[in-house]
Amino acid sequence: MDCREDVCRREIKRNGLFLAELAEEIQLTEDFSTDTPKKLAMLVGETSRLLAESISTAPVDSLRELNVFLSRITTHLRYVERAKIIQTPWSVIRTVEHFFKEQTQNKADFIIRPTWSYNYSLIGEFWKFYKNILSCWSWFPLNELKRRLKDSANFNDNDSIYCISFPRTEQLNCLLHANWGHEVGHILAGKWIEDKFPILWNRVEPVISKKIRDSIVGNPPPVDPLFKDLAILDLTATQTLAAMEVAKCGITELLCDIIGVHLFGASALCSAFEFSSRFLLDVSPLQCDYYPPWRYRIREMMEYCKKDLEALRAVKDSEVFLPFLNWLDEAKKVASTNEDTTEIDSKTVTREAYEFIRSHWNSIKSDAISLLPAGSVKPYSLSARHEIIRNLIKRLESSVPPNEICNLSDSPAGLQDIISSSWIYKIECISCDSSWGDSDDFDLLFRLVLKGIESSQIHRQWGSKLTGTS
Amino acid sequence: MEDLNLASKLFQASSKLNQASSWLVELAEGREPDEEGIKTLNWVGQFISEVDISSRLTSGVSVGGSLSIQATSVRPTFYSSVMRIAPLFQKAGFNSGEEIIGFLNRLNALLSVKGTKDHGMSQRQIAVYYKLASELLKEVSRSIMVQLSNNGLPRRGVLNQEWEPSNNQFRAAYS
Repeated sequence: MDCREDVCRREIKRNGLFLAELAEEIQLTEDFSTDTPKKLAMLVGETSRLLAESISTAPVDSLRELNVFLSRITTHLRYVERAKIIQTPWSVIRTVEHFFKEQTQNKADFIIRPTWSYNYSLIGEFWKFYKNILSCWSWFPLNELKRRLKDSANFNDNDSIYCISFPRTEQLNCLLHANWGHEVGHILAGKWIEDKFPILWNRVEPVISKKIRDSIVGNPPPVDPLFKDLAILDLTATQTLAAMEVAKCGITELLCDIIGVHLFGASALCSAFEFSSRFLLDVSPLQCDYYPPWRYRIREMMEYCKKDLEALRAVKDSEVFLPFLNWLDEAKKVASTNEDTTEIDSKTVTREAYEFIRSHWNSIKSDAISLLPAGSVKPYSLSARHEIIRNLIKRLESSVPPNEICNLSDSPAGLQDIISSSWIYKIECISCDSSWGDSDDFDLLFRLVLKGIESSQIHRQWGSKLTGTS
Repeated sequence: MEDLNLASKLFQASSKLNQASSWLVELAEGREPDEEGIKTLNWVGQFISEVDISSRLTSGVSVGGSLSIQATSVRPTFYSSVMRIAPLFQKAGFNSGEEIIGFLNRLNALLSVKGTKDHGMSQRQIAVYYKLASELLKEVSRSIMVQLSNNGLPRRGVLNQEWEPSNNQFRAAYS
């Protein structure tokens, strides 16, 4: 490298130290619902400080890599900043983080933050990302970083941090937040993808690659004959990569949908159905970042909770659930046609990828579900909890937060029950009164649900102590 | 979802390819790699044999595991890098696609120190091969890093497009 080496080294060092100070300032001056945002800020800060301190030992070849890494981790502070109390449904964050931690067997911490894009997403895991990259550089004192993290925040090597985003405009809409089940599913799906996907894909890739190659050879690209073979290899590589991405993303998203329904029952299906109503149902995975078509996803979710919904219809005094069940019957009609699979089967890349998914789907599903903790292996069931949900609906009908099973009981309502009852109540309101649904109606419902979740958490955490005191 | 795991693995691959590229220059000048260098060269050799679909079609061997996923992700970048350094191949006397593919097939052996000794090639010939391989690895490494960082420039497209080769002459010609 030329004279720019000195400039580069000096600037990266300055940048790293500034980032460390910024991270520290955020930890000290901002308020958050939990400690997790501060934990990520601390990770960013300590890492950038140590990088700046060690940069004099970095070989010239590593400087550009270091800069790429530093630029990446700088953006991680935005997740911290957006998790400030003022920007989140702060009253439910503790409950939700607690629920997520349970699903990951207390192995992960979560930042929950709004995003201006109208979408839900999960980003992470951060610490593994840091370790993977920092371990590339023999000059970087990774063990020293681990020691500092342990000393300053009791951060252990097996800790992990994820960030779950939700649409800013839906801050209060806890009903739609049943989509969070899908997002936490990404952690389990990610584990499945990391452990099992390479093995399965490795078995089929040569076959898929050959089919793709044959179709290209049958219709070769118009290039200089000297490079024809290379061009065929190049095209085969690109299309095989696309097939792998379609399969990987398809499995990931479908698994997350199933885990969402597994954890939240039909509420997750309702959220996905409502969310997708503003988008096209049958867009090819190749046209939208390899995601499966919405119709395919809704069909799979529908299938997963089919038996539970049938059982709910059969319970005694099921009238209160009928509007909800009838609404879902309408949704079922949407999933019953096959425009999505026709689109998938029309291209070699998507056809081969989905053939792969279909042939392994049942075992993939049960593998992923088995990754849940013992307490969650059984799916959440509306029909099994219909009595509780009926009580919570009654409270909503009286404009009382659905926070406990009955008045002055020792049984605070669970997160999933509260969300389920609010979905059933909402559909009941819409079906009984076509004028229901102005901003006041929604505002009241959302605030009752938020209050219900908050109160049930306080009840669960402090209830016994309060009783003891009184 | 932004795939931090894949991003970090591709970063690792780029970093190792860069280190191996530097070691190949040393080898071309007759210096021996240290233990770390041998480890890196072996890893890159395995990785390249997984990436290069033409050698897999010939040998049918795959190292499998997560390396195969990294390899599938890097493969289009690999071939577009070969295209980009085509003038260097021509300068080194490679005049046909078959010869270039032959070179790619021998990369794994070339990257293993033992392999080069058993090659039956002259020292001068080996030096030419090392330099060419070094240029190729550097180009692949550089391309991955540019995809990760967009070279410091704002992105126009969405994140998932970052793994698509952005400068592929052949694709531009027939797409």
